[in-house]
Amino acid sequence: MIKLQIDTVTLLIMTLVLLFIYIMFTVIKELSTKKPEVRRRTIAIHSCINNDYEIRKEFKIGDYVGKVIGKCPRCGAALIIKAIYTEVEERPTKSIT
Amino acid sequence: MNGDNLSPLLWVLFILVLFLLNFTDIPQRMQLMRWSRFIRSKLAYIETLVTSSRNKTIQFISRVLKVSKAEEIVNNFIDNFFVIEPVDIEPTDIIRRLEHLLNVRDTKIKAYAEKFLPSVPKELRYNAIVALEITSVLNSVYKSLRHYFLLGIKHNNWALVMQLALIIPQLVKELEGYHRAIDSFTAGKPVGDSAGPLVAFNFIGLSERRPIAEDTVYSVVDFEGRKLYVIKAEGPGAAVGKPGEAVARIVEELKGRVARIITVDAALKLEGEESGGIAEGIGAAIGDPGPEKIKIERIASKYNIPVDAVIVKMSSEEAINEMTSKIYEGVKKAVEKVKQIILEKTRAGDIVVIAGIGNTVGVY
Repeated sequence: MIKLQIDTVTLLIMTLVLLFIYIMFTVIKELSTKKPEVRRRTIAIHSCINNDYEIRKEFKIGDYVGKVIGKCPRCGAALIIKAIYTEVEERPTKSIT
Repeated sequence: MNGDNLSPLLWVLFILVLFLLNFTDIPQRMQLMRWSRFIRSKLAYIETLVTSSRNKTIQFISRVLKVSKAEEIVNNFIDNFFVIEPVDIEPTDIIRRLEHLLNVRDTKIKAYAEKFLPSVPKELRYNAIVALEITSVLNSVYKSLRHYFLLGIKHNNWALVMQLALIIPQLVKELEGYHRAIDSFTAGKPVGDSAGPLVAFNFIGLSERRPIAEDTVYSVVDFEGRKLYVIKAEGPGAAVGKPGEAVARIVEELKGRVARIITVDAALKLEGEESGGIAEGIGAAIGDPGPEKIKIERIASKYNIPVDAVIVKMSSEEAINEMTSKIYEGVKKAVEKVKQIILEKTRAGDIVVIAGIGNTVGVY
């Protein structure tokens, strides 16, 4: 019969250690793959139809591209919403790895 | 403890484990258990997305549109309005039949919305329809996934469960995009798919909109001596209109005297490509099931008119969610590209038809 060189208790401990390492690795991997925190800010560009004035404002419900919102402070022509878009800022979450 | 006395027992155990792993179904069953647990957790998450979308839609209808029976409106909508695809083993007239079925569905949905939301302005009613459609899609996908999962478990079909476990993370990501899209449509913000109508707006500004087809308008503007017929869906409500029909009607009205047709649309980018990138090609850039696209192709080939396609690239999630600054940059580039095509490929005095394809939510 083949005689084992390693003591059984040592073998069991080694198995348990390997199992523990595997579980820790899985947990750390799971924690480190958390989604980054995303901040979104929707901007409405107010612009004169003669293109001589432009200002960025926060989007308000009821805004749409092409909405006439007043008069241009420079030339008195119509001031409209030229564009609405969202700025996305990703903040990576702290990884423990 | 004496290790030498335990060694034969360990060897027997080792061989037994090897036998069980190699010559029985135990590994598959173990994997089936793991996959089932994984799928169950994802399905529970998808169910929360469905519930949340449903609640958001109900809140929009009851609080913003101030309509009672919001819950009933949503519940009656989400399981209905499916379309049975036309017979395709007999392809004759399939486009006409498909168009007919899509029109009937469209009319039915609009009639439903008009019945329950009679005093709501058209733009907001259209936004509500899209919110209802999104909730309906989420619900259908959830029910289909649950169906295949339960089927796999019932018949111990580990191959089916495995496929589901592999594909479900990707689907969850897509469904999260759909779930978030409700906020964009209920707020009336332009989405990624509004890139085409926004390009059209950059050419026409506040020029007079003339109706040409259902939910579709056109404006006539001059640009560097050329006359531009610019087509887009009627905004700022969430509508896609019938741009193909509009292009065909305008070209027929002009008796084919059109130097060029330029279509601009959002297109799905490939993984690794930058969002907001643009590309120029040939053909009708339009992502409908077929009836609208074929009308552009037919009218262009009838009068031998060159058709250009300008696309703004984005992911499927970006296409249905609020327009990002990257896509807006793409829109500006697309406007310049269309101008370049007009200047380089047409002459002063020519007529050019531009179609800004896509959902015009948030764009007049």
